[in-house]
Amino acid sequence: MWLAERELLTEPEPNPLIAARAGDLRSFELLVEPLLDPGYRLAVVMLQDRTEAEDVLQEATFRAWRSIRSFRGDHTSLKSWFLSIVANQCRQTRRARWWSVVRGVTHVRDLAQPEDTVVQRSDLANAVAELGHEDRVALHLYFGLDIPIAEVARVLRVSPRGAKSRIHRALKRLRLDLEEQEILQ
Amino acid sequence: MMKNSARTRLASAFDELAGRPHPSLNATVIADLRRRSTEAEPRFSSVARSVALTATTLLVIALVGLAIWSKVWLSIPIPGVQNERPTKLPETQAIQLALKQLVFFDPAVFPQGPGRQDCTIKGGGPYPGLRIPGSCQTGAVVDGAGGWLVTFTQYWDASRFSSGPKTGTLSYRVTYDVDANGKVTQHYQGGDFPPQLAY
Repeated sequence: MWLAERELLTEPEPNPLIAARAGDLRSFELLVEPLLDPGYRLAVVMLQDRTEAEDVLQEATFRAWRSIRSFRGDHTSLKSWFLSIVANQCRQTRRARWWSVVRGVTHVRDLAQPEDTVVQRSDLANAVAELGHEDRVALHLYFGLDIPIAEVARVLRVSPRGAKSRIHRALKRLRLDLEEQEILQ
Repeated sequence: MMKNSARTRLASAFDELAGRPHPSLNATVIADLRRRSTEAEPRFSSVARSVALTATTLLVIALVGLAIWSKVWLSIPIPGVQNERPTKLPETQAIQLALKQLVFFDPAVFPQGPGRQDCTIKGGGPYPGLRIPGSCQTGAVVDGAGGWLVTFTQYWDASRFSSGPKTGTLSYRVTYDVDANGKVTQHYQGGDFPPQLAY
């Protein structure tokens, strides 16, 4: 009885997701801020260019704000939803790269990254960097960002089974490449 | 199954690859979001999209309606108005069909297409009958229903044969109506008293 009265007297906590859907920018900021870091990491892994990754993150965040009204999931699926938008934006940027190559515009890589970065990386990091784009992204989502398979599949726009096989394939390649170093025992 | 150490190492490898974001990245992204959200409200965007979609849909419906209306309307013949659409039946084919129906005249003396040529008009009378020099003309005009009006006319000099005055040029003609489906019906026959009716 006492608990019920207390519940009635206590004001319900504002739900930032509902508020964001209703157009409250502050609430959206609260929701999206923790997702910026994984979004950035995903963009860097997909594009391998930090400057482009930052641009993509800005654009993806704005797009997420514009489409938050149509988001029908809950807090648990917000991360994969946002990462899907980042991934789509990265795909667009990659296509634009191809177009710039066709038009004869040279793609300028991030100059802030020192040339000897590759040397400074661990062998495993280098091996991961050598993976194919799709495999690298699948691994990053699953191991780097610790996202469940179903959500990985959503970001990659494949079936859960497809996402699983992609991760398995990538692991297999790494295991082959790194057998001597015995990284994956 | 992967061991936890390998999983940790993979996560570390990705940390290495991605590197640390710029310390002010979050602030920059949020500032950019605030600036752009004031420039273009999502509500406006969706409204504009709806308006554009509705306008396009209405335009498409109007164009399709216009196309159907014009197709139906133009296929209805309007009395008193010349239908300028070309007939489906070729002119020469209409003339050939009409020539087959020609009984009063000798079809062999008329041109197979539009035109006029000298010919000998075979008339009646005692054997071997009258032979009057003249000219034979074939003509065709489009009628209002998409068919043809084919006319065969023979001309001869009145000095050679006439039931009246002996001067001038006399004529006699037969007209057939050939519809778009090739059906032939006689439309008119008449003129000056022709040599064919001489006895």
